[in-house]
Amino acid sequence: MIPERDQEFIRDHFAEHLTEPVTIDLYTRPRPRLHVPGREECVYCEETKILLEEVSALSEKVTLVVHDVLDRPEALADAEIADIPAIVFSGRNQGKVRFFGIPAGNEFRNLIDNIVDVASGESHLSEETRVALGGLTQDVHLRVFVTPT
Amino acid sequence: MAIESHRITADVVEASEFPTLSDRYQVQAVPKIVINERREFLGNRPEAAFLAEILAAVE
Repeated sequence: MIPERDQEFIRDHFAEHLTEPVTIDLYTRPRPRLHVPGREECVYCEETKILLEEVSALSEKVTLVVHDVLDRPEALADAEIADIPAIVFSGRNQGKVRFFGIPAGNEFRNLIDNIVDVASGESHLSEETRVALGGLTQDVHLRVFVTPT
Repeated sequence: MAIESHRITADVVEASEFPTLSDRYQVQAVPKIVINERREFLGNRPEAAFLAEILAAVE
């Protein structure tokens, strides 16, 4: 799914910048063998899984954990997730960093940057912003709606 | 920003894949940012302005 040339670039990028481990939890379900009328299909679940398998193969620092929610529906409730495919990044980040849908097109770059930033726990934000965020006393839920192109 | 604070959950949502969610937040253009169901704006903002939106959402 990822062109060979891009794989080479990302492998080098990870080798240089990805110095700490990161876990990617993917909540997905396999493509059904037959279409059940009335059941909502997860159009990009399979592609997202293949994409993340390819990305995680580019660095030993990246661990991919695939949760099959058809097999274990309670995994969604445990992770407080309502939609799939859902991707949760865990490294040295303090808060939750998640992605819903396939991180393709423009968002692919975002995926790679996310992996590096979450692993290091470094946000590139100013000291002032970091202090303000550290002083939050209530929970904040940011939703950023994007399209792949 | 979620990297810096345990209080923050940051979700990137591919709008076309989740029409129900996109309809609920009336996403007609992207990027659209919604904070705590209370504040929303279109397009990215400079860091300080983005922070101001977050702080305003928890006032």
